[in-house]
Parts: sequence; C-alpha cells; structure tokens
Amino acid sequence: MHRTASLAFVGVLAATAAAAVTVDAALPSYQSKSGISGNLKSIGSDTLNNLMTLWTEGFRAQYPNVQIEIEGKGSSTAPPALVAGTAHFGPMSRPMKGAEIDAFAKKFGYKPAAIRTAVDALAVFVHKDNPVQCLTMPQLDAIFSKTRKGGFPKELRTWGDAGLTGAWASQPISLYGRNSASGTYGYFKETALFDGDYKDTVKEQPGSSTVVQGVASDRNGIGYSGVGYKTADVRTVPIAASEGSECYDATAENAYAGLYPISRFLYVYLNKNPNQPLDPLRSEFVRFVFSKQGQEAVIKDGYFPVTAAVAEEDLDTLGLR
Amino acid sequence: MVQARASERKQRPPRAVTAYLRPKQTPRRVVWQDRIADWTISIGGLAVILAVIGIMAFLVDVVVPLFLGGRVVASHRYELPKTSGRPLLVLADEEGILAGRIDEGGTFTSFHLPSGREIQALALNLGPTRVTAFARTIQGGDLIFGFADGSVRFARLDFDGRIVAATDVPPDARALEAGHRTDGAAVYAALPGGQMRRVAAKLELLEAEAVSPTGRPIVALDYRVGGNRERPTRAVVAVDEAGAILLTRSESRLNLLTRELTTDVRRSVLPPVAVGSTVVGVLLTQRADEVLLGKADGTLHRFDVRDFDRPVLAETRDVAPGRAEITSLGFLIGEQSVVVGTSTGDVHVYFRVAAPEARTTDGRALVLAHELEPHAGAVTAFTPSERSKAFATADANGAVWLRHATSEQVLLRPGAERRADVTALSLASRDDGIVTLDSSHTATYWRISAPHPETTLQTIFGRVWYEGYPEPTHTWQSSSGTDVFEPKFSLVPLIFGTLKATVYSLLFAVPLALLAAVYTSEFIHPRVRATVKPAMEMMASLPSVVLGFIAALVLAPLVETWIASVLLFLAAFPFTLLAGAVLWQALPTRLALLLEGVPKLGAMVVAIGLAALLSQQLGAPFEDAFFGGDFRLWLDGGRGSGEPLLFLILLPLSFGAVAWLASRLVGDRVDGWLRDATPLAAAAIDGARWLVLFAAAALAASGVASFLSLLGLDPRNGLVGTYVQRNTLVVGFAMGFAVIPIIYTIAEDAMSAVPSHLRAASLACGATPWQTAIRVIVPTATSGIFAGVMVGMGRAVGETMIVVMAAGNTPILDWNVFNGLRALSANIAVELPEAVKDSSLYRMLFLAALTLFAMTFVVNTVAEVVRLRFRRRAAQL
Repeated sequence: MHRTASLAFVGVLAATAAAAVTVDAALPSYQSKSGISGNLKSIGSDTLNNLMTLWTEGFRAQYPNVQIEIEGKGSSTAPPALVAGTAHFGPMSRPMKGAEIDAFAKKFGYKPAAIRTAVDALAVFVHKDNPVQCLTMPQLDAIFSKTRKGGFPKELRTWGDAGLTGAWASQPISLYGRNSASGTYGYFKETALFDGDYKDTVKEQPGSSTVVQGVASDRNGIGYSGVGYKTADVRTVPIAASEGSECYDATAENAYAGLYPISRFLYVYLNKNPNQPLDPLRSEFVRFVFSKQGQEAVIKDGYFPVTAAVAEEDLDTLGLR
Repeated sequence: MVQARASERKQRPPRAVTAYLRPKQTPRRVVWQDRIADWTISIGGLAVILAVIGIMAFLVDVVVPLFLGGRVVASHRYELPKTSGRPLLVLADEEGILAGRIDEGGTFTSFHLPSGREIQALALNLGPTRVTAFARTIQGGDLIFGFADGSVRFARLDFDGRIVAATDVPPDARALEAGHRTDGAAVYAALPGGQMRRVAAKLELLEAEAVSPTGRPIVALDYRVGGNRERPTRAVVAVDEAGAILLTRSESRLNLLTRELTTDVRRSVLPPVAVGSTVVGVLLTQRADEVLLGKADGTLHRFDVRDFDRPVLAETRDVAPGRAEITSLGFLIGEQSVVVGTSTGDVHVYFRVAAPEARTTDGRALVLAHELEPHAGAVTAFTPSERSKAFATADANGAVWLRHATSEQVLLRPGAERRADVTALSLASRDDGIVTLDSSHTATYWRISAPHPETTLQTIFGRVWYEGYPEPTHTWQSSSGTDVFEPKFSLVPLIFGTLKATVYSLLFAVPLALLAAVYTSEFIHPRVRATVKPAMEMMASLPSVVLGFIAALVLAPLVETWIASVLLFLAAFPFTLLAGAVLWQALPTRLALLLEGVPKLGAMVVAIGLAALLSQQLGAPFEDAFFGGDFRLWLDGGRGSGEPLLFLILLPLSFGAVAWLASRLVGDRVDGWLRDATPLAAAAIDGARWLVLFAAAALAASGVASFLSLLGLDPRNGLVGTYVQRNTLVVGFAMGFAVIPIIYTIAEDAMSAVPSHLRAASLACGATPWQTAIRVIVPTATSGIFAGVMVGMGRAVGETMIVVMAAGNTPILDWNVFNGLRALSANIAVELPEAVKDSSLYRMLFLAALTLFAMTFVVNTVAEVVRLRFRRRAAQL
C-alpha cells in the first residue's frame, strides 16, 4: 500500500515533470485481485528492459508473492524463447517477422498474440557538443549503410560530408549500433536504412545503454537507441523524412502524429490459445501494463504511453474485457 | 620360490642377515591393482577419444542438413471443373488446406488442396468488358484486374483461418480426404488438443476506377501494398495500349491521439517508351520509387521515381541476348532483384548497384548478378517466395523448378516433363508447397521441404554477389528484423577474425613469455624467483570476462586518448631498461652482489615506470614530429607519407641486423676492451657501444624506410588504417594477459627440467649464462617450449569473452591492427540466443563451432608431431 502510493506519487511527479507527456485520462487505475501468485519469466528486448523492470516492481507492489525474472538480450531472442516455452512474455521492439511467426505456428498451431505497450521515438544520438541541426532519412541511410537504398548519391564518411564546418569537417563519423539480436537493429535497418545493409564499421554494442555510453564518450560518435535511454551527455538529432521536409525531433507529439519518421510501438508477445482464456497471473500483468500505473511507468522510463483506445483494442484481442 | 643352483649360490655375495626373506614374486594384490589401473586408464582414454568423436559426429549431424537441397514430401494431381476463361491465379492458404482459382471470365473457385474437390464457386461480377491485365502483390492476397476499357478493379483474396473448438464443426459436414471436413463454405482440419482449424476463402471486389486517360485497354499492371497498420501505403502502375505509363501512390497516416486517418493520393505519368502491344510486364517497388518495364524484344527500361512528380527514364538495358524475347518478369521479395525469363529458357537475375561511371541518369545501373541453370523451353511462369530469395519457374515443356537466386542452385525439380502449358504458379507462403494450374485446368500440388536454400559450400566459403553490393564479397550479416533480408552467411570473415586475434595476441605474448621464462629459469635470483613465479601463476587465474571488461571499458578509451604515448612506450622501455642495465654495470662489484635479488627487480620496475612516464610526457612532441600532430588523422590516410610508421616498424629489425653485423666485425675487439677495464669504464664503453648501435640502426631504418616509401609502399594500405576505439591492439594486450602465464609456466618448467649437468658442463667450459641459455638450455627444452606456445595458441583461438567485449565485433577482412574483428567463438556466443532451433542460422553457428574444432584439432595435431620430434632429439641427451 505504501509502495503503491509512493509509486503513484513518483509517477505523477514524472508525468508533471515530463511537461507535455501525460497518461490518457481514460485509462483505468489498477485494482488488485486476490489469489494471484506464481512465477513469470520475460525474455526479449533490451529496449524494454528497464520498462519491464518498472512494471515488475509495480506489479510486485500489488502482489508480493509473484516472482518475475527478466532477461533482455535483444528482440530476436524472444521468438525462440516463446517457441521453446522458456518465457511467458517476449518483449520485442519490432514486430515478429514471418519466419518467426511460422516457427511459432508450426509448434502450437496458432499465431502468437501481441500487445502494444508503449510508443517509442527511436532517437539518433550524437555527442552533446555536436552542432548538427537536422538529418534527412536519406542522409541517415548514407551515414549508416553501405547500400544507400534511400537514394543519397554518395557515402557520408566525415562530419563535413554531413554538413558541419570548422573543426568538425575533417572528423570521421564514428558509428555505434546494436547487434543483430536487437529489434532496434532490425527496425532501424528496415526504416532508416530502407532495408539495406549496415556498414561493416558500425560498432555493435550489446545493449541500448552501451550505445548511448559509446556516443557520450566519443566526440565524433553517432548512434541510435530508444529515446528512453537518453542521458545528459548526448543530444537527439531532429530527423526529416526527405530533402525539403520539415525536421521533427523525437518528442511525444511528433511520435503520436506520425510525423517523426522513426517512431514505433514497443510490443510484448505472448502465447495465448485463441480458444482458451488467459491464465489469471498473465491477465493481471497485462491489465497492469494497460492501467494508469503501468503507463506512468512508461513515462518514467522516458517512452510515451499508449492511448486508452489502443489499450482497449489489445485487451479485446486477448479477451480480457 | 625359485631354488638357486648350487653353482650360483657360491658366486653370489653373502646375504645380509635379515629376519624376513623378501619374496621375489610380485604379490597378487599388486598384480591385480596393476591390471585394474591398466584397464581403467585404457577405458578412460578410449572414452575420451569416443567423446571427442561423438562431439564431432553431433556437430556434423547438425550441420549436414544445410547442404541437402529440397525434397518432395507428397504430390497430388487432379482436374478442376473447367471454366471458359484461362486461369489467372491460383493461391493456397498458409496451411495447405484450401486453395482458390480465378480465371479470366471472372469465376472464382475454392477447392480442397490435397484432393481437388470443389468447395465453393462464385461468379465475380467483373462487368461486360474483357480482362486484359492482371497482377498480384508478392504476398499474394491483393489483386488488381485491368480491363479493355482502361479501368482497373481492386480485389482481395483472404484465407480466413481460425481456431475453433471441435464442437463448433457443424454435424452435417461431409468428410474429405486427409481427415478434413467441409460444410460447403469452409474446411475444418483437426489440430492437437481437440481443436479444429477452420479455413474459408473470402473474396472482396471493389468498384472500377478509370485509369487510362484515353480509355485504351490496359496491357500491364503492377500493384503493391505496404507500410504497417498505422501507416499503410498502396501503389499501382498501369500501362495502356497506347504506351502511357501511369503511377498512383496513396499513403495513409493514423494519428494515435485523434484516431484520424489522413490519406495522401498522388498520381504521376512516366515518360512513354513503347507502344503498348510490345510490353511484356511492368514492375513496381513498394515505395513507388522505381518502375521496370520489360518489352518483348528483350529491352528492360528502368524509371527512377524517387522524385514522384518528376519521374525520369534512368536506364535501358538489353536483357535477352540475341533474338530471344522476355517471357516472364518478376521481382523477388525485397524488390531489389528482378528475375528475367526468356524464350530460350534462360533465367537471369539482375539488381541495381551504385555505378557512378555508368551512363545512367541516377548513377546506378542494373547488373547481371546471377545466371541460373536454363530451362529446356521458354520460361512461361514465375512466382517468388514470400520468405526468402527462392522462386519457382515453369517452362513450356511443363517442367517446374524450385530455385534460389543467391546460391544459384536448383533446389527441386518436382515437375515431370509432360506437355502442359503452366499458366498459373504459386509458392505457398511458408515455402512448403508448390501449386500449378495449366490451361486445361489440371492442378498439381507438391508438398515440399527445402528449409535451407541459401547455404552451399560456395556461399559459405566463396565470394557471393549479394543484392545491392558492387561486387561479390565475403560478408557475414546473419539476420535482421524483416523477411526481405538476404542472409549473408560467409564464414571467411569470422575465420579471418580468429586468425587475426590469434596472430596479434601471440605476437605480443610469445616473445614476452618466452624471454620471461628464460630469465626466470637461468638468471633470476632464487629469492626473486620465489616471488615472481607464484605471481605469474596468479595472473593465469584472472577470469577472462574480467579481462574483457577492463579491456573494453578502461583500456580501450585510455589507449585511444594516449595512442601516441603507447607507441612511444613500446619503443622506449627497452631503451630505459638497457640504460638501467648499463648504469647497474657501473656499480662496484660488492654493492652489485649485495643488491642482487629483490632490489634489482625493484630497479627494473622503476626503469619501466620511467619509460611510461617519459612516453606520457613526450607523447605529444613525438606525435607532432612523426605524424603531423594527430596520429589518428594520419592513419586515416589524409596527410603525410607512410614513412614514419615504416621507420618505427623497421627499427627493431634494423637494430638486430646492425647488432649482429657489429658483433661479427668488431665484437671480439670490444669484448677485449671490456675485459681489461674497471667496472666504471666498462659501463661507459658498454653504454657508448649501445648508443652507437642505436644511432646506426636508426640511420639504417630511416634510409630503408625512405627507399620503401619512394617505391610506393605505404603501411596504411593494409597493415594499419583508420583508428577504431575497440581494436586488435587492445585485444592483443588483454589476450596477452590471458595467454602469457600459460606459455610462461610451461616453458619455464621445461627449461628447469633440463638436467643440470648440461648447464654445469656448459658453464664449466667457460660459456656465459646467456650463451648457456640460448645455445644449450633452449634447444634442449624446445619440445616443452613448443608445447607451451601451442597451448597458449589453443587458448587464444578459443578465447571468447575478451574478443566479444573488446574487439568491436565487426566482421571485416582487414589486417589493420587499429581495427576491430569478429572471431568464430565470439560470433557463436553473441548470436546463439537469437537462433531459432534448427534454423539456418542455428546450423551455421554449429558449422562455425565445427570449423573452430577442426582448426584447433589440426593445429594441435601438427604441434604434437613437431613436439615429439623435438623430444626425441632432446632425449638423446
């Protein structure tokens, strides 16, 4: 009770502190039920790691008997875990691809269920001293990829090529990215690289926070990660969809309106038989995620909450309303 | 007891008086213990060999399916009810239960796929006008019809699959083959757990839309649906008989807060290139940024529509050699590669690469990347896979082949040669079935299994031309978040990475370890030895994950900031050690003997510390003098010549050469001076000798370096290059920490085990301790030293955690020491959690493990053979 109150208080503080971002008023406040206990295991996205931890803390404040284990090595580790039955939840920062859905359907006969738990504007970070104003999607493609399918005519190797002048002009761009297990890697490759291939010189980091750390310690660095991992040593670069379009920064309004070109949902996949109801433990966790407290945790982690309409749609698909 | 003969008893010496007469026969207990030990050890040894063979067999078993092509699991052939029109489309659902057929007359039939029984027949009200063109998206369900009056109609064919309880099946459902049942509209298939899968076909037809401005018949169409649920896109390209090419693109955006859908529709007219009747096909990409038009005479036109309002004809290319005609044209998934089938049976794969020197308007050109095995007759049908770069082609003789573009192989030839004209062909969405329909409405369905189409020995170990790359390369990029990605499984960069890490870390570790072993076994004071040896052994117990962590987070940024000082330190510390040795020589003999031992070790540590301090202070001036102020910028290749680095590399080599030459020419005379001088004078002469040698070496090195750089040799072209924070230098240091104690301990033990009578004899003959060490001890102990180096190499090859954390994991083929690498072991550790069991990636990782196993096995076997030969020689002593 004490814990819930303090969590709610922190949530409110965070909500007010984060200026424009607030939880949809139509989301219900979570009501705990009796008889909920057991173990939950979550294997999947690193982007959602902190978020799953916050939800776990909030959930355990309601139900101290529940044990939850979280492992976040990358979105691509979620489908094999769900197929093998070693995880109850598979958080992923990208939607499952056809081959992964096939592998799941081959084992269980039905497709996996997905809920959209948060909105993320995938931010492109540079060192806080880097003065770059705006990058277009083709420019981003030319910086990170060797195939340049976005159509930019030449490779961007130095900050001078990207438009900076002075001492920055001759500095080579130092690239940081995620490893191939990451959903963020896959999503960035699909959207920002136009399904091209990364350059071989992108330094693959095992987690979102190490990408930000790499950029923070490297003056010439540029990297991509969920906006929730932003620290004071880096800044986000506004992105324009194409040459001549307006530049939008990674903020909540731009993400909701679809104006920021690389915004996405953060999914959690689970194994639900369409003809059987979801077990009480997992149902309550999903209800908690879609409650006011759950979405306040999303704000606290730096991402943007989903609206009540999205929450209701997803609760419907799971048969929880 | 054997009774000695009387004669022998006399000759034997008198027995000692003891109370107990020892029996001469071995007691049975000992014999049995001996036998048991014998057996246990033999069985243990055999079990080890069997376990190793078992591991190898298991690895091979997991890997072999990669190289088996495809096979047909089941095949069905039947005749569907005939209709008036020619079949346009046949499409199967995901599970291979239900399929649909649409023909030119507008009749839609759904039929049970394994048996061919008709389930439902609908007449689509396509209107009075004739259908002149038809297209579908690669993902199958979205269709578009083009009519003779220049209009188009969209349609969507869905196979609605649902899981229902067994009780939901209507009782009057009639039975079909394969245990399925149907109620006239849907088919029910049993699932484990008492559930049923219900599949029903759903066809939706939208209103006609006029497209051709002059009302001419549409001759070619293409349709793309894309985006995601929140941002769907739709694009259509239509070519009419007059040759006008019209492009429409619509993009919708859903605002999450207001739930408002904003749709943006844009139209564009492409420059005309052909009269409509010669057009064979038109292709469109999902982003509507490229249109390809194929003409019957074998010409392919490529339009660049990145600027939607100003489309440009970028390129025209002849893709059908000679007098052949294009008969089929289609994109593979991802819309990068286009497959062209000709009337002579050729199947070619083209894709677009950046080619700034080509005469095209956008600096890109189509290249013929893969020439696949030709059919015997003209290629009549083509269908791409929805999951990979596989596709199926059918020819005029009725042969249906399943192929893969990147690996250039024909996976399956299920279609027997029978005179049939395949008009509709489709590949099941999970690549587990092929359905064909010919003009006489005979359908064939093959259930196939081809789980690993992209791996062959050529794609794993050879150069492969991947989509969008300018030339064939060795690349490892195993997975991505989408299905359109072309997996690149080449083990060559990984094997190279393992070798690079091993070579550089052994280059750093072996000289240090061996010289340390020589020093410890031959020169060191016993009291110091008692401190140093345990300390080295403790170094071996450092967990490699800690080493990797420190290397990545502490050492790498440090080396990056102080790189010039680090390089200077490598040159400076031998210098300060030598200076310290010369000064030590100047000490009076009694004092020197008194301070032998721990104080001398302390003085050595101080000398190295001094070198570190000096290089830190002198780092900036050194960088200014040699590399123009910024080493990393110099490495990038921007300024200066390669001479400074060549000089630094040649310096130790030239020093060795000059020293050898000097010792040959004037060595005896200098030794004579040293022998006759007082300690102080001897130190002065020695110091002067080293200085002269160093100066001569520097001169020689700089001369050779200038000469080489005049010849055009620049180390920045291969040996070194752009600086990256997580590089092989840091990995070398960290792995050195892991490998040095192993080599040191084994080599030192080998040298201590050399019988001391050899050492004593050598010293007694007047050899100095150094001569004894190098000419007597080391050659005798070679087998042990070699064994130590081999064990160290084995450790370096298999080391995972240090490489994962400190090497940057970039799969590049580059000897540059300031660059990262990706080793086989690190790759397995990083990628195994994301590999679905029994997928291609999973088996490729096992192949990587098998390769590592084989490499270590071969190296260890060769090493053992060499070691045994050394030992045989040494045993003679």
